[in-house]
Amino acid sequence: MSRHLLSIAAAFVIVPSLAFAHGPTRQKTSESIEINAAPDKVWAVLGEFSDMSWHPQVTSVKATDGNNKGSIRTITYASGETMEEELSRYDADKMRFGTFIGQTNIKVIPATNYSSNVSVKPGDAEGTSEVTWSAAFYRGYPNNDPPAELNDEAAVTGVGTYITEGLDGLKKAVEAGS
Amino acid sequence: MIPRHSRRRARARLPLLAGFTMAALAFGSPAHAGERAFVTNQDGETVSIVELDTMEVIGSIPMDGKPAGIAVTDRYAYVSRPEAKAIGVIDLRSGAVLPDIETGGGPLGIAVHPSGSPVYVADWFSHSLLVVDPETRTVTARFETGESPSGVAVSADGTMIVTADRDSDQVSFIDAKTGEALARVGVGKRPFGVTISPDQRRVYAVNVGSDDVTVLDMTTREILATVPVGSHPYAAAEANVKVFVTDQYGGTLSVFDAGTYRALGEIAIGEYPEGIEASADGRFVYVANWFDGTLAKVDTDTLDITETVDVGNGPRAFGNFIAGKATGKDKGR
Repeated sequence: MSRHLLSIAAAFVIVPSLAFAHGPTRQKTSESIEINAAPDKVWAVLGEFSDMSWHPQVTSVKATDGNNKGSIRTITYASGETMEEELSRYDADKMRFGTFIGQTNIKVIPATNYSSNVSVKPGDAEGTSEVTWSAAFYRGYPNNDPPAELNDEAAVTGVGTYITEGLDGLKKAVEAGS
Repeated sequence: MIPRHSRRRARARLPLLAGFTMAALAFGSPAHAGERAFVTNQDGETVSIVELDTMEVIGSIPMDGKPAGIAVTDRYAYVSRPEAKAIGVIDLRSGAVLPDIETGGGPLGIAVHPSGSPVYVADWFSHSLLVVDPETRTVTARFETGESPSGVAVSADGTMIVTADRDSDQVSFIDAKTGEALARVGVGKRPFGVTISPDQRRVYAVNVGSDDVTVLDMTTREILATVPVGSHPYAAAEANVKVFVTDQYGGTLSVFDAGTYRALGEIAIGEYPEGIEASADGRFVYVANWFDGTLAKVDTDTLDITETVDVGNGPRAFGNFIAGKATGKDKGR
C-alpha cells in the first residue's frame, strides 16, 4: 500500500522532469566589482580553478585536472551541500574562464543548466581591477507553473546573491593579501 | 543594384518620426530597400529592425510572449512566441502588427513555404509540425515529427521540409505535399538548428549536445560528415563556401569549409551567439548574441567582425530573420 503510494508519488516527480519543456526561457545576470589590486594579483587568486576559498559559502574545493579545460571541481559548501562545476574554457592571457554546471544543486543555486564567464580587466584607476562574473541559466523548476522559490525571478535573485557574495569575498581576500 | 543615395535620403527623414512610423516609412518602398534584420529579443519582448548596410537600428516593435523564432518573406515576418502560444505577424510594408495566429502548444522553430504559404511551425509540446494558413490564421494540418522539434527549413523549390527533432536526436525529411516523412535520420545529440545549403545539396544539423554538426545529403539523405565545432552550438549558415556555426557556450563562431569540412577558424563573436543568417550575396553573416544583446556582422572573406550593433534584451533570431534578400521581387499576395 505505502509502496504503491510511493510509486505514484515518484511518477509525479519523474514525469515532469522528463518532459523537459522549452517553456522556461534562459535567464541571465552579470555583476562587477572594483578591486584595489592589479589584474595579475587578482587573477593569481581567481584564476586558480581548484581554489574558491574566497567565496564565503565555500568550505573546500577539489579539481580533477587543475586549470585545464574539462577539469571538474567539486565544491563543498558550509551548508554541507556539494556541486560539480566544469571548466569549459580557460584563457590566462585574457584573464578569463568559463564554467558549466549541468547538474546544479538547487539548494545552492535555485537554477539549472548554469554556465558562467568570469574575467579580470584593468580598473579605471591605476593598479585596480574590475572583475565581472556573468551567468546564464534556467530556473530551478523546468516546467510550467513553477513554485515561487523555483521560478525565473528566484533563479535570477539566487544566482545574483551567489555571485555578489563571491565577488565581495574575492575583493576581501585579494585586498587583505596584497 | 540598389542606388545608395535613395536609401540615404530615406533614412535622413527617419529621425523626424517615431516608433512604428519609422518602420513604416522604411518599408514604404521595398524596391529600394536593402537587407534588413528582424531580431527577436526574447527577454525584452520586442523585435528590433536593423538596416544591415549601415548596421543601424531603425525601429523596434513590441511583441510579448517571449519571441524566439522568426521567418520572413518579402512581405511578412512571422514570429513564434512560445509563452503566448501564438505566432505574431508583422507587415513589412507598414511595420504594423497584424492579428495573432493562435497555435497552442509550444511554437518554436518556424519557416515559410517559398510561395509565401503555408507557414510551418515546430510545436515543442505536440511533437509535430503545424501547417498554418496565414490567410485564414488557422492550423490546417499537423505533420508528425520526432520529439521536441526545434529548427525547421524548407527547400527552395518548396517540396521538402526538414526538421531537427531535438529529443529524438534525428532529422526528419518531410514531403511538403503529403506531410509524409520520407526519412528520419539519426544525427548527433540534441540537434537544434537546421539549415539547407544555398545550392540545396546539403543539410546542416547543429547538435547542441555533442558539440558538432551533422552534414547530410539532401537527395540521398545520407550522412556526409560529422564536423566538430565549439561548445553548445545552436545554428549554422553557409556563405562563401564556408559554414558558420554559433557556439552558445563557447562564445565563438566556428568556421569550416563547405566542401572539405576542414576547420577554418574560430571567431570570438560575443557571449551566447544564437541565430545566424547570411546575406543574399554571401559576403556577410549576421549573428545575434543573446547575452550581449547585440547583432554582429562578419565578413565571410576575412572572417573579421566588421560591426556590432546593440539590439534589444536577449536576442535569439532563430530562423530566417533577414528581409529584402530578393529585392525587387515583391510578389505581394
